[in-house]
Amino acid sequence: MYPPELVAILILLLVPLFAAILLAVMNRNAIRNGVVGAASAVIIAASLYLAYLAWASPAPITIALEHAKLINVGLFIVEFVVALAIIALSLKYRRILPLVLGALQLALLLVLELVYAESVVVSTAFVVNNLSAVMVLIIGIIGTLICVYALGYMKDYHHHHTEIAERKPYFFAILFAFLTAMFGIVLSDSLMWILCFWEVTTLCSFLLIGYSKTPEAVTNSFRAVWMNLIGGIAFTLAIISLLEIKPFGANLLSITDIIGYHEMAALTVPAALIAVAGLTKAAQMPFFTWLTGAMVAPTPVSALLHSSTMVKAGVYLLVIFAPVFSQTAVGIALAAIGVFTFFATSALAISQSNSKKVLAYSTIANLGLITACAGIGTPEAVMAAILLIIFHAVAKALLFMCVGAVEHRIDSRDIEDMDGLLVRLPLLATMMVVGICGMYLAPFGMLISKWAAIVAFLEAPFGWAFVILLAFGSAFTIFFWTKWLGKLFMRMNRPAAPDTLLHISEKIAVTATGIFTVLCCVGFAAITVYFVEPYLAGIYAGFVETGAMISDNRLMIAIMFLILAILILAAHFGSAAGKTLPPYLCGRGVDEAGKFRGSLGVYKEAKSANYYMEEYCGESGLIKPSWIISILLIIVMFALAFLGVMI
Amino acid sequence: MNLILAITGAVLFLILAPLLGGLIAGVDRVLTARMQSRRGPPVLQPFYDISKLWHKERAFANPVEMIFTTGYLVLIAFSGALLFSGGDLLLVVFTLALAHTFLILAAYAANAPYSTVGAERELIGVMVAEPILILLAAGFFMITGSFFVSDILKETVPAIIYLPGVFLALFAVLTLKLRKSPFDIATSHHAHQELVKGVTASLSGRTLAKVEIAHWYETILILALMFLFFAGNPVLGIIVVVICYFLEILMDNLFPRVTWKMTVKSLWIATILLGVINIAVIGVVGGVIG
Repeated sequence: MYPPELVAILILLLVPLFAAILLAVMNRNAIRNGVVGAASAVIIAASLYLAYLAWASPAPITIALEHAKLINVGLFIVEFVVALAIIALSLKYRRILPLVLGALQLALLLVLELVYAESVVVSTAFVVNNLSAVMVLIIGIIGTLICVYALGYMKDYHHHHTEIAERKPYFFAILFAFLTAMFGIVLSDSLMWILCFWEVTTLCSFLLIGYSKTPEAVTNSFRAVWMNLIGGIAFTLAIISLLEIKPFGANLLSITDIIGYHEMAALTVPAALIAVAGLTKAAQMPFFTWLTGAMVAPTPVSALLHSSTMVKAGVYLLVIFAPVFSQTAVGIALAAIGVFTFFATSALAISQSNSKKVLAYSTIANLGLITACAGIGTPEAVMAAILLIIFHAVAKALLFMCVGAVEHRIDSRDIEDMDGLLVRLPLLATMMVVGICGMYLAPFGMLISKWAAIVAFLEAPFGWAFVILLAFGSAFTIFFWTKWLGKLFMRMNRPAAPDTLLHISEKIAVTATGIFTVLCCVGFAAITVYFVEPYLAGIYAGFVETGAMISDNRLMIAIMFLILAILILAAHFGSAAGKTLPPYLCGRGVDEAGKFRGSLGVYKEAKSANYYMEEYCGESGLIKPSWIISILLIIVMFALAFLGVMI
Repeated sequence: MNLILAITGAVLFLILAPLLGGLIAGVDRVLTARMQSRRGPPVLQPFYDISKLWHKERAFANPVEMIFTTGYLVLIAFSGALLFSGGDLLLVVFTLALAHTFLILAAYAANAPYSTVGAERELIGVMVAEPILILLAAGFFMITGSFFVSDILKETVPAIIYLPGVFLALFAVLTLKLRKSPFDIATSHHAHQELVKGVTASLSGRTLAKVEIAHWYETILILALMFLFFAGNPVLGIIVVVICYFLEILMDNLFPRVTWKMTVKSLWIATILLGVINIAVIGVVGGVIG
């Protein structure tokens, strides 16, 4: 009889996999709906149960398996197949760079398997601490909700894009395979196993980005794959260099052992390599273009990549290595890359009117902040990082789902076309407002986390430099979110959209995520106390559970919530007695339909557009210098790693 | 004891700040008029204005304006109360940004070209001021080890000694926060401004009155932030604050045609040159001394 923890873990790993196989072979809508629904319900239940077990257990749950050796072989075959698949596809589409990198990765894997086979020992198979529990909840709940959302979305998608061949079995199968790989990453203890699941996520994202098979999609998917292959190669090299250290009495492939290792000075090179792996997957500078290119895929893919999977795998890896980074100069360089990414991409987001692109840049920016926190690596910084991961996942998933559904209703994803959305598509627009507020305004989650990050930075060496960049980056953030928010409230005299009906699956997913976002924001104190602080106490010996920066302000934050709640209630129930007048147009009359007569007799709508500051924040001007700066920072990071500079 | 002190501070701010703020606005108008060789209105004119606005007919371009302007007023007042009760500086800054978001949304919601442009420029104003406000909080933290105003006030050595650059940067941003310059932004009080009152173009009656009162609260809030630099030496603090305000009026009348683009550039250059370098010096020196 297996212990309950192991049962929950096996459900999380195998149910999505079986669902993927079923979805791949069955092509009936009714069956698909049933399978996705049932699998999602099981996954959500299992992740809640596992999270409960992790919370209830005083120490991290560790599980050793008898057949670890056998599983090792199985997972190696999986890695092998993944590498071969990437090579085959690169050959088919004649892409040189992915081909070369894929072959290199394959060669390294063979070296790892043939030369180092003896030294690879998997002592503990799975570890569930509070951080993995949080990740399991994010993947299990947000990830599955996105899959549910995809059911309705894909109907409309193919209705709108008749030129794209319908490959729903393929699409849904990969979505679920992706979830398995993500659960594998966050639950495994051995870096060998994590590497395997890591490569699977690379392949899955590659296949999903290329779903529509348009030339643009193919190009962007190959860009994603070569950038992530660099990460994979760095990861493999990190494992090899860890095996080379040959420590006495510790298994450096086990994450628990690495964190407890006493000779951090020996770990600088592997740490830098892991940092590169994390940077590629988390789409940091200079590897960020794969994520902005990924928006050619259907929106559920973007939602998945940006919120609960893929990029979160990157930052998860960095966060678990935070104790290593905290004592080495590599960490400072990594933090510099992260905070610089936050600064540059927040500026880039100002120049975009494509809502998906704004969301993409904002994702990269927030991941930059998480990377910076992981690089600093102090307990306070890691706390900020985990909070950022949670709040970003829920709010960003919500925003992507809203944007996707809105796009199918108004045939545009341009923010300029979203004016008056609160009247035209009330539910979606309300959820969008919730998501946007959740992303940047006090007293909601992301801002609280950013605040925690500022406090953590200030207490760290060189932190003041990061705070300066953060201060300017935050200012950009305010600018691009507020002008989007403003659009939703403009021109509220417009008629409702012709087709406001949402698919039931979309409605469920969007509403549930919306409620979830609000719950997370209101319950942030509970999340901190019950999940984040116990994790930190388990990792950092000297950590005292304080939460000082937030606890002293809990009352004030509660009052702010109260003020906002009263305002929202007043907006709904307050009297609107008074005259509604047409807007002021310098003496010109605007009629009921929002139109006016211009000086030359033209009869047109009164409309105004936002500022985009192309000359300062445009992609053409900013991207190249950012590349140079970030590549220089990576070189500095490796120099510090090889010199073994400590703090 | 501390709690009582905190509540007293907050209540006093909530009651006295609009009175003092309105009075400052009145004096400001008289002084400005004198500088322009006019007589100017009575000192209490701002209060007469508000009372008149309050009794006007209720009219709006979009009913949500009422909620947004109320939110603006309440949150500005909350932010100030937080400051005066010895609260966390960062939370004060974030609340201030939230409050301004409400005002900006009110302007967007009006859906008139003038108020939209006003909203965009007000937003730029918020964006320009945000870094220096965060750096201010960071600077205080670096020298006192706390974000709490109550702790900062306990210091005997005025912070200005360590943070002169940050103080000057705040002084530069004051122009914007007091809605003096640029003339083509938001709610500048200049008659000749091209935006016809920008953000408030479509507001009238009570909604406009609320924005005015919120502005008084904010004036006191910002001046109190300047005063913080002289904690431990209140008399000097008050003198400096008065001088700064007078200088603002003077600058406003000397450079009446500063546009928003010039403002963004000059203010961020000021922020970087003065504020950022100040923080960097403290960071480096503090790092060396430990």
